[in-house]
Amino acid sequence: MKVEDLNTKTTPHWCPGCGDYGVLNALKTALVELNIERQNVVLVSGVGCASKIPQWVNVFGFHTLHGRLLPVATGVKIANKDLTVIAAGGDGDSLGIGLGHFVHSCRRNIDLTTIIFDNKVYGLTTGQTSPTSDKGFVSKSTPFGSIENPVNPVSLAIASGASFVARGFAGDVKHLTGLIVEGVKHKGFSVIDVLQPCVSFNHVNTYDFYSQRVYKIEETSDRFEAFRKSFEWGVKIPVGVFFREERETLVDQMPQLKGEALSKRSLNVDLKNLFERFT
Amino acid sequence: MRFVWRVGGPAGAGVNNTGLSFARTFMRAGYHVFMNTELPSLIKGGNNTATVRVEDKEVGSPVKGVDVLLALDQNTVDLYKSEAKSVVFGEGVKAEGFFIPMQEIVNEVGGESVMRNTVGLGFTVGLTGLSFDFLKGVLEDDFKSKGEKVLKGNLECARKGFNLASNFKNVLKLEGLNKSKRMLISGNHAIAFGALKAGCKFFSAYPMTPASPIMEYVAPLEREFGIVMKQTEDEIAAVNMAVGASFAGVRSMSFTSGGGFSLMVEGLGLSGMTETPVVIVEVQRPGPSTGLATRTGQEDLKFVLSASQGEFPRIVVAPGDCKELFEETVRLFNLTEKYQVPGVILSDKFLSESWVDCDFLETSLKNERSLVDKTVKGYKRYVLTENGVSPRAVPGSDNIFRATSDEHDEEGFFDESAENRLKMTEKRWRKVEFIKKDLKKPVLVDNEGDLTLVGTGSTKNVLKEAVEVLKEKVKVNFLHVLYLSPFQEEVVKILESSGTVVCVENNYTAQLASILRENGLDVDYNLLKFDGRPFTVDEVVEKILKLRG
Repeated sequence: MKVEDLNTKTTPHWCPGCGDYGVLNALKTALVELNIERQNVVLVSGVGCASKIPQWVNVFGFHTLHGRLLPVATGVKIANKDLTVIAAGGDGDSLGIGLGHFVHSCRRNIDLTTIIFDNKVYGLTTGQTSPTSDKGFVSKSTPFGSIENPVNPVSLAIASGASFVARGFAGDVKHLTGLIVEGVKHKGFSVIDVLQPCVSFNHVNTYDFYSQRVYKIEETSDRFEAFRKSFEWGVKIPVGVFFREERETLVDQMPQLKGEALSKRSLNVDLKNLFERFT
Repeated sequence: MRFVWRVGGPAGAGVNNTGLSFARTFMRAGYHVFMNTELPSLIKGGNNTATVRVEDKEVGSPVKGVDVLLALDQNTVDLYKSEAKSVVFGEGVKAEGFFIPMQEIVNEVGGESVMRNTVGLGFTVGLTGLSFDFLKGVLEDDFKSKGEKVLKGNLECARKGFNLASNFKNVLKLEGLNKSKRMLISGNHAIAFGALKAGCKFFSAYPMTPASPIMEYVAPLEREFGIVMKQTEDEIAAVNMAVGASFAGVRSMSFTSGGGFSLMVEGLGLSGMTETPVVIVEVQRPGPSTGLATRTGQEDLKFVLSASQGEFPRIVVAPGDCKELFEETVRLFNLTEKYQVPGVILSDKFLSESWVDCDFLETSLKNERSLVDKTVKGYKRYVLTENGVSPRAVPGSDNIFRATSDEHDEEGFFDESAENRLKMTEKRWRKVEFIKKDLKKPVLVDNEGDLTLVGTGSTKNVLKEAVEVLKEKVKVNFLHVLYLSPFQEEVVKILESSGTVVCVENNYTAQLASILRENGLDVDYNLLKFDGRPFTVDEVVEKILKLRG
């Protein structure tokens, strides 16, 4: 499979220069590297600029509701454990309206990869503050500056029990590709937070802003070390795999899912023995 | 033959289980039984009751009055003595009737004080004249998992209570009848069984009374049936997981009450727009907000019909008894898959949490998969067709597609053009006329009559029985509206040719009547009850007789 095989009949209509293009390229390149059959990949998204991505990757796609990508993706994976499931959404999807699902997906360790297109602003609604906006961020909804602390997706993921936690930068497609490959290969819930410049509505967290700050870190399996590292944000911003551990996935712990995928099982069920218990 | 028995006591005193043991005893003796419960929303204290009707004909509705009231506390006596013919009570309770030293017997046996219930159970079964063997068998089954000491203690308590009854003249002389093996189930069981029968393999829910028992019934079957019962972080996750599982080819169901359904509304629309089938069970309780958490009502009819932004076809079915809940659940799974629409089973606390004896549930409906099982060249997920249904493929096949919640073209790509919007909207709505053909036709119960009672959902058995009672004095018949969506024109046709139409429902704003009006039929009278309790047969009879002057 070549990257071109993953193109669809339409081309992305994100703003020219949008960080989403970098993530799209990294995702497609990663899928080629992983060499998984397109037939077995499901890309689930929420709603927002980033969540339009299933339109432009020729695998199974489900563009769902704002914030609900993770429950839908979890349903897909339980229904057919043999599929490779990737859930892609923005910071609003994943950490605003969908934050509850994010935390629960981490603790569930469902075997899927979620990519957060983290541009620290609501883009498709034309520029409001986001849960990851830095304090003081001036936007249409916060003309006097955001007065809330941002969510830190990396620390939140580590604290909530995600078994693979990484951060990438949309301006470094090669590195990001590697993170996606590792995240998809990992058995468990993989979180990849992507620093992704919004060229239209975020004039603070730009390509230059990140290029000057990001540096690559060494991976650790020490949760506390990873957690400490996750708070580094300022002159230097760490990217790479923060944390990885092997842990039983949600599906691993459901003995009834051994063998044939749920979606392939016969609909015909005999209830006679069950009914006997109610006599 | 009719015998009505009620046990009452504080929450946590085992009232429900005592009721079930009583009901099962008589079911095994060959009688028909119906048990409904009233309970407050608390774990300990308050007053719970379980009322069992024992009859020699099929039964499924509550009536006024109690033959024997087993009072486990003073509260029960004070609340219900006026409607009880005889009261059975123990130490510490002031009442007139049968005093039984329940606690003393428990002490003799050396058991826990909750075994007082079993003494009372033994005594009241004894009063009916039924052989002890039926009760003994039930208690053996109920307590065999609790260890020999508990089982033995309960059997002794029951026996001693039973023997005391021989001191009194039997209020009834019941003998065991001989009937085929039947089961004692609740409406929630019937829904769960229907889902299993339909091949549903994925259940997702967040606990909410009165729907959560479905969770309790399905979860232990996970390994035996190879299914998943996933408790989620909220109802939003529940419905969306179900939609996700369905997208991947698994029949899925989510269940909740009105409050949880409020959270599921957007997911319902996702199912509608992406044409991904899902079945949602909405077990109503009175609202708004928390309302009456453990009581009954039919206040969500119009909510369920119009839930979610935008317009899309949906199937909403409101069965009226266990057999119908089972069969319609199977039908709904097949129809929602065939037509790729969301479906809602509308029940309520009264229907879902009342228990009744019934034959092993069966249906002639067959499970039919409506999925593409081979590679289709140039596959288009939303291809325009005559009946609006486009062949649905699932991931893992060569028919790659994208399901899209934005308006989309035949391939699932965004398309906002006016032309496409018209085509797609009409495509989705074209299904309705075809769905209607696959629904069961409405039937007027008893053709003779110049007064028609009309109801939906849980009022079915009450109205059926009211017609039986009224028959001698009034020419009356009954129509059960099974499907609220798509609405069947036949319902209006039948009612148009009826005489006086009385619409009976458990809400304040006459929602069923409003639905009928929307479809061209003005009812003549509304009979409404909105106190959180089900109609009794007597109430309906009385109101109709008054109406007829």
